[in-house]
Amino acid sequence: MASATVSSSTASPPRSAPAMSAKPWYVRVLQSTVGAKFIVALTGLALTTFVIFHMLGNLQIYLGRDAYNSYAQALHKLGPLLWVARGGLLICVVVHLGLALKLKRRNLDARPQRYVAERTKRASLPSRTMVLTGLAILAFIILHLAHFTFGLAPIATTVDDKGMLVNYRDLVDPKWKDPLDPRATRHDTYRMFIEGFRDPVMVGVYVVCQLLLGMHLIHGVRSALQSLGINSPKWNRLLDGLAVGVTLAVVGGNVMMPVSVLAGFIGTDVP
Amino acid sequence: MNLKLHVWRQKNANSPGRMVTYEAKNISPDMSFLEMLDVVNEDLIHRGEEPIAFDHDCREGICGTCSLVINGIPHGGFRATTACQIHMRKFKDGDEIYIEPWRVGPFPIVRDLMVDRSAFDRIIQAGGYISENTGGAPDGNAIPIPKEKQETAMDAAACIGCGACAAACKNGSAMLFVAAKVSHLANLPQGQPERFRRVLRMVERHDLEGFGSCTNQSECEAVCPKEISVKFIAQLNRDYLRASLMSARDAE
Repeated sequence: MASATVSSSTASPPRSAPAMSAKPWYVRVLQSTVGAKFIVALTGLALTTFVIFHMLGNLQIYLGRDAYNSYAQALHKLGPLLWVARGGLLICVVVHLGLALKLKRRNLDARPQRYVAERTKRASLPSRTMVLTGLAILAFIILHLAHFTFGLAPIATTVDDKGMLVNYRDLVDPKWKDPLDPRATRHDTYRMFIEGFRDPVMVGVYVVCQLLLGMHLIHGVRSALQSLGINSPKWNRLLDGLAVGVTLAVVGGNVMMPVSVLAGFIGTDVP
Repeated sequence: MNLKLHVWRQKNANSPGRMVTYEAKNISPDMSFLEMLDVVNEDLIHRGEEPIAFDHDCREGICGTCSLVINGIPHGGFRATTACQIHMRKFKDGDEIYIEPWRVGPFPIVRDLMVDRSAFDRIIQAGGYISENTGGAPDGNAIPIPKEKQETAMDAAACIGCGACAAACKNGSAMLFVAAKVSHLANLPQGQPERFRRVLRMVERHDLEGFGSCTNQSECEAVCPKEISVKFIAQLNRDYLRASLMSARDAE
């Protein structure tokens, strides 16, 4: 660069590069743009893995009430392990979001002025809207937990056989009997699922949120691998395919289930 | 051909700038883009106005000095072409052209279309070199280098440090520049002794200068006049990870 005429007049005098900062190496790594992205990538891939298995597990809704309720019962029987998994997911969400927002703040500061004639040559729409789709996913997670996990009354209430209002969390599997304990009951997760998706508005919200999740994943999966340094001519086509495959599978599976309920393909055994 | 130019005019780093419209008349399609600006400047000087300040040096696409954002894309968005290598035949009579400076925080505007890119010099100072004792000239082929390695290193070394990557990046990140410099030396035997210290120091300096973080949008690769690939950013990420986790000493 021949910018000698520039730096001699108005620009600040050239500063020589100082020695590396004295902070411990792990602090330096986490504070660097590259190191922070490793963590965003790792937590992102962990959450992606969860989303894949969440979708696969829920596909058992097609196997009927007994299979699905047994699956839910098995998950709850994990006890402390279930809470370890939930805690891990919560940490992943908080760290992923926190670091991504911190980097976003930095990136906005790095570009104080936009171009008058701003144009984009290659950066895809999903890649430019990661923060927006990410925040939408956060809102969806909160809605989803309120809907099915915490049973928030206005969206998680139905009418039982006797005409009484009942929360999704208090539904009881009518067919199941514990051979050892005649008084034991189990949660009717199957009915909760079916009733939860008989409202077209709710199904619409879920479908839109899954499409936003798809936008996030289609850039996120490939980008996470690149951030971890995984980019090789031998593997790139396979990795591109993996990112597309994961996105299509997750979005396809998660959209198919509520739509199947709404369309009456499954859940006809619930009145 | 006659053109309408919208040019960013700014007196210095501290004063506000604005777009000013100029007519470029009787432009030959054989002129280069910078020659077209020379003609406009001649006209401005004859009228007693301040000419448009822009950076230029070799005008043959190898020095990395020209730095024009043409219609919203650094170097105009023609494949593997610097702004100085664009010819006016790429435009049509009557076209409106927006010309702006690189816009990224660590490159303050000096005047009009000129920016101060010494942030890149400081990143190079932080580690973009090898240390070598002087002495008798070594034999040219004394160190065997596999052809693929040498070609990869040369692909990275093609970077002319113009800053278009940082100017195009939606995040104001200069990671493609840093990656090219890191990968150029990391692929050659001469670069090995300082390989991991280099990547740590250059990334640290990049961050200190206030550049943003890479989000793998590849906008940099799309505008790079030397077609530097984002695969070098992956190499930088790998080397940074190895240097951070595996190096024996904390300082490295």
